[in-house]
Amino acid sequence: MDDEAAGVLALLPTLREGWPALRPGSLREIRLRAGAPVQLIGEDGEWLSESAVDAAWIGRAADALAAHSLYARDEELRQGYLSLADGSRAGVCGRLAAERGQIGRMTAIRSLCVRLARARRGCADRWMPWLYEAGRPLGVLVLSPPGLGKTTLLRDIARQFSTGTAWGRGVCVAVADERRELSGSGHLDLGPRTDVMEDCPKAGAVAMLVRAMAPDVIVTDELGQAAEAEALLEAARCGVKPAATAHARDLDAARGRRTLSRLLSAGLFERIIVLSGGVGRVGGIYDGRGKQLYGGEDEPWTQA
Amino acid sequence: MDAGMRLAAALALTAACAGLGWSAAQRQTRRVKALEALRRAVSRLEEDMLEKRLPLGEALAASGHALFVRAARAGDGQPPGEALRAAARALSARGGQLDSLTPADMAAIDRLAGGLGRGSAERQRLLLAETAEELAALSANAEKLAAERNRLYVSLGALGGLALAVMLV
Repeated sequence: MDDEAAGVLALLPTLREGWPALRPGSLREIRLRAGAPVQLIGEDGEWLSESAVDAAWIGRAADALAAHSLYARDEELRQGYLSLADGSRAGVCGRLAAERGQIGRMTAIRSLCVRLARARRGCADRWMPWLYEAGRPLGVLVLSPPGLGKTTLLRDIARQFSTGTAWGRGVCVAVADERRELSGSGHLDLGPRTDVMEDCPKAGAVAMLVRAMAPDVIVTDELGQAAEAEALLEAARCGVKPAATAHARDLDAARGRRTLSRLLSAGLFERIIVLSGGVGRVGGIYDGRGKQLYGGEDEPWTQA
Repeated sequence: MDAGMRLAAALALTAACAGLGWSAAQRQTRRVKALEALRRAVSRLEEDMLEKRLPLGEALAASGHALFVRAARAGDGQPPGEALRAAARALSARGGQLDSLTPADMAAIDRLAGGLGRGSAERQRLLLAETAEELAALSANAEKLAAERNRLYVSLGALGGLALAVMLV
């Protein structure tokens, strides 16, 4: 088993039948639900445990994944996730207490979905020529439904912008990494010219990074809030190019989301990469006006 | 043996027995100090965990108490409860920092180990408050006991020594 997966599985309470042998680097998600079997999802398919785990097991798993410090993770839990030390993220589901009509504390954890952070060095190689103009990086948006590898692709794009490629020299990159998924708390390579602001809400982090670090490119994951869009627009007014991801199945769906629509209309993104049809599979690359530049059937990077 | 030597031997025996009594009484005094130091460390732990929101490993290491520092060092890959229990076992061995603690004191540490780092802030707050309260009660009881027993043990030691001296000399 690969180190990342083994590290996370070693944290979990023991499973009656033990963990299966997996192809190194193939495990993507671990899904744990009270009263249900453990589900491992990998590039080679899924594995379900024979025995179910109970609520106490899930509680112990959550304690271990939070480094026995759930008491200090209220804010993360309120947003439905836990950051793991290696940069992976566990989605959390259970019972939430409402406080004055707002989402309050999580009072019971019933399900966990651990998504393993993994650097796929070079997974953006094939797409980098599309992401430069006159030797300068372009604004890039990566779109896909959850779980197809947006963050992995964005991480490698950020690394290559920072390192430099045959199409452009290395530039200063700043990463607003609210959930530490991009940097993996420093475990994952983001290039030699990259500064990372961790744990800070994205909108605030973008503004701070533009002021403090004067980057050429600002990178952030999972755009969705109006404040984040406003921060990126302000950064663009300062001449900083954005590189970001967002949930959307295609360009039309992205245009249907108010925040993304605003950014797309403003011409913030000169290249839009859409992942579709499987993990790591680029279904299309578009320019800022929506003209398709690439729409071929590529091999997903997971097979590389 | 002449009378002078007999008197000296009797005095030495009485003093030695009184010393044994004093030593037994000192164990109570050390227990009070150990419980008080533990209570202070638990309060510090509560502040670091629930006010400063330090991760458990850091909070244990910052507590300044050998029990928690030792548990923090062993903590990598070991649940904190197990690490704390192992540290308590090691420190309560003869000559260890917690060797004056009674089974009731150790049970309080065991209850803390059973819940430390498990569940929400509310649960941790309750656990730490209950532990601090329990340690304070044990400490107050130990202090009272120490005051009573200090005099008693020294007197009993001296009397026992005197009795032995009379019998032997």
